[in-house]
Amino acid sequence: MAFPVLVRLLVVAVVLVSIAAAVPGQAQKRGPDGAPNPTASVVDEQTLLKQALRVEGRVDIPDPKAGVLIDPAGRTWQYVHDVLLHRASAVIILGTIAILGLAYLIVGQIRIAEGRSGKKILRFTAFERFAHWLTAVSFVVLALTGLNITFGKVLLLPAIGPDAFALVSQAAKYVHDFTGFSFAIGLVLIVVIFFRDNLFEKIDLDWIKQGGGFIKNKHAPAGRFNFGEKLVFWLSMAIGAAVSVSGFLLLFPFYGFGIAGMQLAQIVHTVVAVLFIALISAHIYIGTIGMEGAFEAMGTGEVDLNWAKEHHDHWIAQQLANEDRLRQPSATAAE
Amino acid sequence: MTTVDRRDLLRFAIGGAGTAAGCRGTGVGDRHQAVEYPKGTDPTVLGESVNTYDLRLRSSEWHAGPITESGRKERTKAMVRMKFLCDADRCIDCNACVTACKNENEVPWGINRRRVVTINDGKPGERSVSMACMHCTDAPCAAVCPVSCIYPTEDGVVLHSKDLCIGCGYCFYACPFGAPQYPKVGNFGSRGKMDKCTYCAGGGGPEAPGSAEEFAKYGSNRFGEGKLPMCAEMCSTKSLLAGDGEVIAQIYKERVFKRGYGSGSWGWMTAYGEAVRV
Repeated sequence: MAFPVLVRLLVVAVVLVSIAAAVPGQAQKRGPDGAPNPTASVVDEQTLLKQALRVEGRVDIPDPKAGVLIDPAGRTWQYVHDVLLHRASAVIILGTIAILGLAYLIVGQIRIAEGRSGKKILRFTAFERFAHWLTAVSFVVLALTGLNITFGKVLLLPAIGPDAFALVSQAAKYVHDFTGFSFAIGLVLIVVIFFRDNLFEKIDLDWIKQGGGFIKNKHAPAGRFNFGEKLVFWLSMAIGAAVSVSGFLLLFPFYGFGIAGMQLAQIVHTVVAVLFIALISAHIYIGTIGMEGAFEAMGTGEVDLNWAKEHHDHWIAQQLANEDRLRQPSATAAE
Repeated sequence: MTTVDRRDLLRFAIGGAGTAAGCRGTGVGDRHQAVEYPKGTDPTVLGESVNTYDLRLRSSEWHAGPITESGRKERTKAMVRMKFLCDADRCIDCNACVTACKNENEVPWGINRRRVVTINDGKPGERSVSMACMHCTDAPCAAVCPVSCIYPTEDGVVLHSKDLCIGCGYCFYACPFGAPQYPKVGNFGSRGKMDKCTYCAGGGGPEAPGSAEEFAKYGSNRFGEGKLPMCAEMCSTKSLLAGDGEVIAQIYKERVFKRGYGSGSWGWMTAYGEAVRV
């Protein structure tokens, strides 16, 4: 090509390139007046939060949680935990205690109708009693230490001051963490041991129809466990499983769950635990002061014969029939 | 075709380049101040700092306890209210603030008090924001703590007491910014005592301000010497601003006005309930 043509071509190329370089990139947005507007291609905090649940980005730190820039769910969790859970828990627990108190004042202790016979029969073996008490003592310890985390700063902190309260709370947290294991083991033992006797049968319907033993003139039939006890068993199993699983998630934080999962686990744990406390409070009431002759079943393992005939007639009939068949002397157990 | 001689060629090239430059704009403007800064405090001049008055905190007035209504009212009457503002349009993700904080406070391994998060990485509208504790006005971490170990000071700095902390982790669940961090020193590798950005203001507890014991627990206490947090001081582009909320909001507004754009004051609506309008 001739030299002038080449030069002209070069000049045109230079001009085109410089004009192209001056034009802003096509991906960049422009303002209404056509000028480059960097703000148009990025939105502000409030708009981003309306679009997405949380604002996340890239971080150099190997911790993926650090990539969350703003997570408004934290405020929601705080509201649920601080306001809703506090109020609901107080209502449920205090309400249960109030109802039980009323029951004791109005109905009083349910006495054995024909009085004690003086003869005893074995109801729970030593292993069964061990499983129950392992779970029960663990539960009470867990309930008290757990309530300290929720209500401690409202009730205990003003009483003993911040330093003593911090010591108590630190110890309580470790006790709570470790006792969870003994509770879980005890719960598994209870479920395995008492599973068969707690399956629902037709006799439970009759028990309900007869008023469950709370109406004095009617006799409510029952097997080894009546309908109320079976309810306690199945509810304890379900609630205990829920509280254990959520508790273990909280014990090993962020192993496989993100921030949202941990917040949910904490809410589940608290709600379920409060319901559990209400249920077990009723169970403790009926097993101690609510019914004469009930505690010794778990305390010593042996119950009065008249008590057994009144409250678990099918069970006692079966036990006596077994004993007759084995031709052993009735009543007082050798163990 | 006429020959184009070298002078024409030169004129053409310069004209083309000049057109290109004119289209792009120069970006060098004259400094016109909207605010009169006291001598030595002009933040647009290299070496000068925003705050020169004594910020020594009276630790005898601090106490660990639940936030009370009177405490909140006292804070609004205070002389200054310390805040952080990260200008997302200036941040270049250099992580100087992260390194400065880690170094200044000897932060334990695995804990990141300050971090830089990049949104839309590689796409148009990429923004980097440096995030640590925002020292919120109505701190949710303080409200949710079961032992009330987190408390605000009269300057708005949210401090906590490691003596009272039981490591339950609730403050992290409640914080919208993920500021509280925990060392994995508890049983089964679970949480130890909470650690977070202290605004380089130490701990405010029974340890003497600026002492070695306080440093071992909470990090440096620059605040007691009248200095600002190290992260903001070390920011290479001065995108991370720290200081009195009114002053840094004003600086940011001027920047937005001068350059014509801004993505807003990140985190301010969530933390302080008010934002710098862009």
